[in-house]
Amino acid sequence: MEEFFTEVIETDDKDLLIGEIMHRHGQEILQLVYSYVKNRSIAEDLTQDIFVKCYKSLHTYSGKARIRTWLWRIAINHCKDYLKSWYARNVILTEKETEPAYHQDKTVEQTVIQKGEDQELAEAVMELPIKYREVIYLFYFEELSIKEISEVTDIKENTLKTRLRRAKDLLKERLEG
Amino acid sequence: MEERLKKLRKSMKETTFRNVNFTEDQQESIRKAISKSGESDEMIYSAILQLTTIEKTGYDLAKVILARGIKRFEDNEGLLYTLLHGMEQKGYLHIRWDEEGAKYYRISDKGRKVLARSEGKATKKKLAFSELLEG
Repeated sequence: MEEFFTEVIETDDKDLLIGEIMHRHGQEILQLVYSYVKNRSIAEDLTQDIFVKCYKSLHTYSGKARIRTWLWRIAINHCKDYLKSWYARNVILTEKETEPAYHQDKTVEQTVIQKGEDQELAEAVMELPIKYREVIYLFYFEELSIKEISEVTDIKENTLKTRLRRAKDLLKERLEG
Repeated sequence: MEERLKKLRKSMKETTFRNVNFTEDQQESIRKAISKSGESDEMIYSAILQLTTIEKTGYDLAKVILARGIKRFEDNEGLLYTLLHGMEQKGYLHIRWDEEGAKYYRISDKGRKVLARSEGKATKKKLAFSELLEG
């Protein structure tokens, strides 16, 4: 798969390549961004910026790192820059993201069960402070190894391990009392 | 907790991300944003060739390029030097060192030809620059 990218870069058809990258990674990048910013329209805007950035720096992609790792680094940095920005710190979103509608196609009973098992966990994770949410998301949702997480976040492995432990404690307190 | 977290993927997909979808529309708007950013390689090579009609240092070039709204080198001047080096190697730019050790770039005859062709028809432009971009 990586050969494919190297080859396409050599033909210099960046438009073709960016299309392929969006096709393969668009959904997971959007989700990743959402996990940081917790707002759909902001996530969509940032995802757009990320792919534009990616396009502009395609020529710097050395082919050494996996393209996914490279793309994720761009995405994660972009999210963190956004969260650090004046805008994110000062503008409180008036419109709270509406909760996904569970009740639409499920009976009340099913909803209650699902709320218990699924929603609670997902909500608890999304409510964690960012540094814990990040490591939980990358480790359990994306199933990256600590080493891989370290590569995409530029955070030391030991720090990540500590955060992961702490994050699990926090979740446990929250979910299991 | 560990067991429960193993289900996180499923659980988030069904709840958190239920309405978070990367759509065709979004891909289309990204494509538009990319083409509006106007920072294709062609544009950048063309800008460098035009700007070096009067010789300039890399530092001067970086400033003028940024003034044109091309932000690719804003936080990455090294990249500009890599590009300049490549263009010099291929004979599109002449270089000159002054007494103080500053390096000046000026478009060569070969560079002028590429530039002239690039300013011709769009199809020709593509050809001219793909030649330049090769390798």
